[in-house]
This record gives sequence, structure tokens and C-alpha cells, in this order.
Amino acid sequence: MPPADRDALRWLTRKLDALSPLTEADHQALAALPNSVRRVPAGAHLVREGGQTPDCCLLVEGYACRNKLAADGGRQIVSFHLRGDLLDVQHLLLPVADHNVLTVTEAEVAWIPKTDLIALTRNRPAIAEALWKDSLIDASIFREWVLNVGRRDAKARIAHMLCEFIARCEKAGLGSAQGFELPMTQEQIADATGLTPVHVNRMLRALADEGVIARDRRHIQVADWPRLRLVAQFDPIYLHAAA
Amino acid sequence: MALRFQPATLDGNYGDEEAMLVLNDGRILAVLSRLGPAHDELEGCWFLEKGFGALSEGVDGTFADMAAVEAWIGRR
Repeated sequence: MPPADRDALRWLTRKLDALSPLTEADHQALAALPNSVRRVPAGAHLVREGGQTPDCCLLVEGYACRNKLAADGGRQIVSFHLRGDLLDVQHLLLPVADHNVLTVTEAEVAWIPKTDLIALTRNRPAIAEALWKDSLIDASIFREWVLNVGRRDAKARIAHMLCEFIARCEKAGLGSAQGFELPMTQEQIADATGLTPVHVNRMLRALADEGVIARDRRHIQVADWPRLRLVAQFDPIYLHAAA
Repeated sequence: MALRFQPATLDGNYGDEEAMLVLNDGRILAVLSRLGPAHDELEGCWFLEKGFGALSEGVDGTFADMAAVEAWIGRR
């Protein structure tokens, strides 16, 4: 494992610092984590269900998702991820991957040895608390997605996905409701919302026709944020410190 | 199986109102809609809005024409 790429790790530090205030010594310990940075194309598997990984994966640039597959090949995307997200923090303690992690766009990822991260959590309580909070917020987002896919209508599901994505991008300094590029395809949005790509296209068009959003292909501008939130039934409380 | 195709109109279907009911001995097997220009390269294709019975599960289909629909139902 090469020496630490401090630049790659600053996104992790920034995220954990927001979750639990870190000391200067914590910052230094995080920056010293050994890691290996790699560029990967869109659609690359970072973690495979059933696999065992010795390293934890930090997303440094680009977008990723987690998915699970049904026996008939149906895909369910269960979360999207942005710069600064640890994509498989649960594998610090759970030995076998229970889902897949893939890149949505071309991405840069930093692989950090699990043993080093575990040692860090044992020596640095604030870092352990931040990682714990990160896992709890992940679980909260999963609960919201179950509600979204199980009990909201098609338009609300799409609107909610947009609201969450915008809120998280704003927090990560990656864009705002004034205008952003949706990194995912309509097929991926369909897989995340339990709809077909045809329905996703219809709902995006309906939101545009109603003046809630303006869009040009993947470029989205929220024209009426209160209305989008209303359509989505979006209450960001479930994002806790992630937004 | 005696399939019958009956043209219909779907209410409020975001511009894809032209529809077709697929019936087998008077029972509805599927409701399809014809995709409009907003669907780019899928314009003109038939989209399975809802399947029933043997067509109700694990289906996410668009079809170039009704012959393709008929062939697909035959395989199910």
C-alpha cells in the first residue's frame, strides 16, 4: 500500500468532522491513513455481493450506488453516493458483502485497508463516533427509501429522489437547486425508484410541464423548490447531518 | 389461446393515451400504450402498462409492434 494520499482523504475528514467534531490529532491520524487511489470507469463493480474485501472504499470523485439483484435479474438501487462517502463502511465489521457497490460515473476511489481504519476507531473515539453516526444516517436514508419505493406514487418518488440528491449535493459542495447535472441515467433512476424508465421519463416531463423543474436532458434546474418539496413530501430531518 | 386486440384510450397518461387491450377469451391479459415523441428512440413502441395473470410479474417491456407483443405473450 503506497503512502497516504492526503488530498484524497480530505473529503473523508471533511465529512467526519461535520458528523463529530474532530481534534487536530484526529485530522492528522486520518490524513496519515494508507490508501491507494484509482480511477475507475462508469459501471465498474467496487464491491460484489458475497465478496470479501480487505480494503474499505472511499469515493473521492464521481458518483456511485449500491444495488441488490432479484433472482430474475431485476435490479434495485438502494442508495446513491457522492464524494466523501465511505462506500462499504459496514465491511469494517461484517466480513461478507451483502450487496454490490458500483460506480455511476467515471470515478476516483481511495482504497483504505480495513485493519488501519479499525485501529483508528479504537484509538480515536471522535472518529469512531463519526463513523457510527455515518452508519446510523445511512440506515435512516434506507428507511426513507423503503417508504419512497413502497408507499409513494411515481411522481412523488422521482421528486423525492431529486430533493434528496440536491440536499446532499449542496452539503457536499457539488451543486445546488439553481442548476445541476444528474449523473444517473433514467434507467438507474428507475432502478432506484422501482419504476420503469418510461415512467421516469413521464414523471420528469410532468414535473417540467407543471413548472416545478426545468430540464434539458440531464441538466436540471429547480424552478419551484417549495412545490418540489411538497410533491415529494420531502422532510430533510431523516438526513440528519448529511444535509 | 384466442388473443384479441382492442384499441382503447388511457385517461391522463402523460401524452401516451393511445392504448391497446389484449384479451384472451374476453379476459384482459394486458394493457399497452403507444409511446409518444417524448420517449425519443422509443417513439411508436408499445409499452406494457399493466399485465395480468401470467403477465403480471417481472415484466418491464417495450415492443416494436403488436406482432412482437403477440410473440412475447406466446412465450409466456
